[in-house]
Amino acid sequence: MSARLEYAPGEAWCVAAGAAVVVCERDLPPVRARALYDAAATVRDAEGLRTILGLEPTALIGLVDTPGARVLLRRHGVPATADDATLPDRFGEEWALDETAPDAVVDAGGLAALAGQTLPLEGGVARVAAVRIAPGSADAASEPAPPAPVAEAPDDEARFGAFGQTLPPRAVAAERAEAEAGGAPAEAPAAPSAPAEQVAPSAPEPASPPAREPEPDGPIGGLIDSVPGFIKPAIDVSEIAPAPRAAAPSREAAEASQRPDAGATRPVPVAEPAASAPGALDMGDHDGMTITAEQARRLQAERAAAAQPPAAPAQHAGPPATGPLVLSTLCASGHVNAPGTTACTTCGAPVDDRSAAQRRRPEVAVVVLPSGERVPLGRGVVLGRRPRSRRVEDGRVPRLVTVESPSEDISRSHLELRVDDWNLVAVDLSSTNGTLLLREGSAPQRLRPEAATILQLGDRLDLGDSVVVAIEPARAEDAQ
Amino acid sequence: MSAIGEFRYSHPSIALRWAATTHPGMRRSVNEDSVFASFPVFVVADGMGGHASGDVASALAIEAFRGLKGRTLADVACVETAVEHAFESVHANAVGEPAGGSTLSGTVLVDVDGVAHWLILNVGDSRTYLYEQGRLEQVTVDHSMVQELVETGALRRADARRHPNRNVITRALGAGERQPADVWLRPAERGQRLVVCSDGLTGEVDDHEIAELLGDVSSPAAVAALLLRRALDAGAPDNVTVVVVDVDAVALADEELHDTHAHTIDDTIPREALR
Ligand SMILES: [Mn+2]
Repeated sequence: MSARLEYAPGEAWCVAAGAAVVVCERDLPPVRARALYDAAATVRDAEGLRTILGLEPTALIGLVDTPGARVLLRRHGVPATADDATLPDRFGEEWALDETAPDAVVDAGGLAALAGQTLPLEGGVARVAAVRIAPGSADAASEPAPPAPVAEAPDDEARFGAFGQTLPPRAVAAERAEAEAGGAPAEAPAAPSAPAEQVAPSAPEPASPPAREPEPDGPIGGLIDSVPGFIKPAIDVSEIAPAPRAAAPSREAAEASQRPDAGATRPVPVAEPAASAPGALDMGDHDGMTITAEQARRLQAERAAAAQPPAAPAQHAGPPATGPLVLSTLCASGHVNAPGTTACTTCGAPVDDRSAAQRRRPEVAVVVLPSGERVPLGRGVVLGRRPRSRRVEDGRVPRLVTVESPSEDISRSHLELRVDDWNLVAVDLSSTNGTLLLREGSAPQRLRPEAATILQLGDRLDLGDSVVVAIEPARAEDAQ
Repeated sequence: MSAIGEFRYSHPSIALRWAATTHPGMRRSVNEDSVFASFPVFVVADGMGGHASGDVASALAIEAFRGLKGRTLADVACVETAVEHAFESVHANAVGEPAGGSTLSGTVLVDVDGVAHWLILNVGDSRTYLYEQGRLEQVTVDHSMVQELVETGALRRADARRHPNRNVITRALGAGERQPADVWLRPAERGQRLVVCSDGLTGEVDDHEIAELLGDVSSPAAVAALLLRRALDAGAPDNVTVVVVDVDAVALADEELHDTHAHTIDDTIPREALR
């Protein structure tokens, strides 16, 4: 191609051959880079380019110079400009196609990096943060006979080392170290033509060399920050709109779809999140991830456990079961009971202990406030003068119940009530003045701070300031 | 660094100012963090996974919360639904092996019996801090390997930021089986300042420094910019996202917006003291 290719060093793989340039993720294995180089040399048109991009899951952009136009195929998220005009980011399609004038200057990738030092590439493979394809300068206009820097076997690794400016993949890290030890690392590119470096004077030098020491490699493969270069964020700060609009209609819809009527599967997302349809991105293997091997095993175990379908909770009268999965038994009418129950707590019918299985727990009990309000305990309840919840790890937001305390006798967060498995539990939250447990037939007992005390139905709890609450069995109408 | 906008909104029950910024950092051309900061939602997601899946995952995680934006406080059920949707859509669109995923942290102002509360949530190692009366509290607990080590006593918290496995998280959206989010519910009080950030900030700037800046600088936009600056100056190998939200006024149920500060300084009066 009669074009001049400049690149800012980085992590993505840039393969330039014949009339085509292809940029791939950091994850591209060198062996595939080699294959891609061979394939790119044969590309003459957009269709040919599309074909080789389709075969390389890590490909991010491809560019081919055709007689009439410069053709650019891009994945969603890869920024690009043509003659400094931003090319639109298109969602939904596998490859966004842009055609520019044959002599347009096309930049792609981490555009800011192009303001810093760039290097020439006449053909071959380099590690880049961004690329610029500009009209060829008069002297360099010669057809780049496949120079194939990667072609000579003995040279291969050294070449990768020389071009890969920042982070070579782990596979070639050792070779790179050798290559660097052998010679001056800074000016490695062995391209014979003049580098024609352009350094914008006002450029903020986004990645100065000293900052480019290798990132620490965790011994565990999947690290959250082991992500490759080249793609821009899909959301920018300009989207942070200052003017709140009226609540989106999706909220009602969300509410409607949210009712998890017992046994129903999770709600279908109503507001289809963006047109981004990232499922369309045919992403192949990549290695940047967070999951440890240990976690993978754990997930596997959980998946296996979840594969055993919980018996569909048969719901009749009685509080609908919205709680967590617990071991339970059923009565003849299908009411969910705690294991070991002989007579159904809802209807008194006999309970079949052979029905034991994991089911969603119905509301078991409520706390009755001095006002008469009944608050179910299933989600957990925090009572106090101005209560807050502590960390809740099951994602179920507890109920906060504010109680009057004119003399400030009651602490801000005073008492927690919850259901563990089938047990009703009270915890005094290190309240200043404590909580008294009042149980029929027993002397009043002070709750030990921060200790879980098992309650019985009928217990009452005195928080001070004459606030006494009662624990009562839930009725059907108590369900949330 | 471009200027960071500062926004404000007054609801009958609460008045807020906030600012948000996100930056790819000094070593990456990719920003896989996503942020949404608009009344009453302030959330940050840090995407992970190679090959375009990280930024897509974090954008999807955030997308689920856009519907909460509005003139009113959210309600708890809607936030739970949004969390559910975030899990669903990140999971549904997670491709590759291992699949892309995202952290999620932040807060939504919810109505609890007519009073504004922060519903703070977390999956992964992005964080939500609460700065109040000169004290910085990390509300969320990282789902990370180093956090587990710290909890078992195998690692000192002071060493956590330099641990080689500091980036390994133990819970994420889109990562295999669904694991629930951690949630907290805290009353909103005048003078509170919340900071939601990705690990790109906390990996470079320690809590002490964060607290100092939060105490010194009154404008949320300025403090967000300074926090970002600190992270960039420290080298910022990761993407950096910062949201700062200030509570300027709060109304209790059935009251006009007013200064609740006096109510919050003294806690419970010990019974003994009254006798
Ligand atoms: Mn991060």
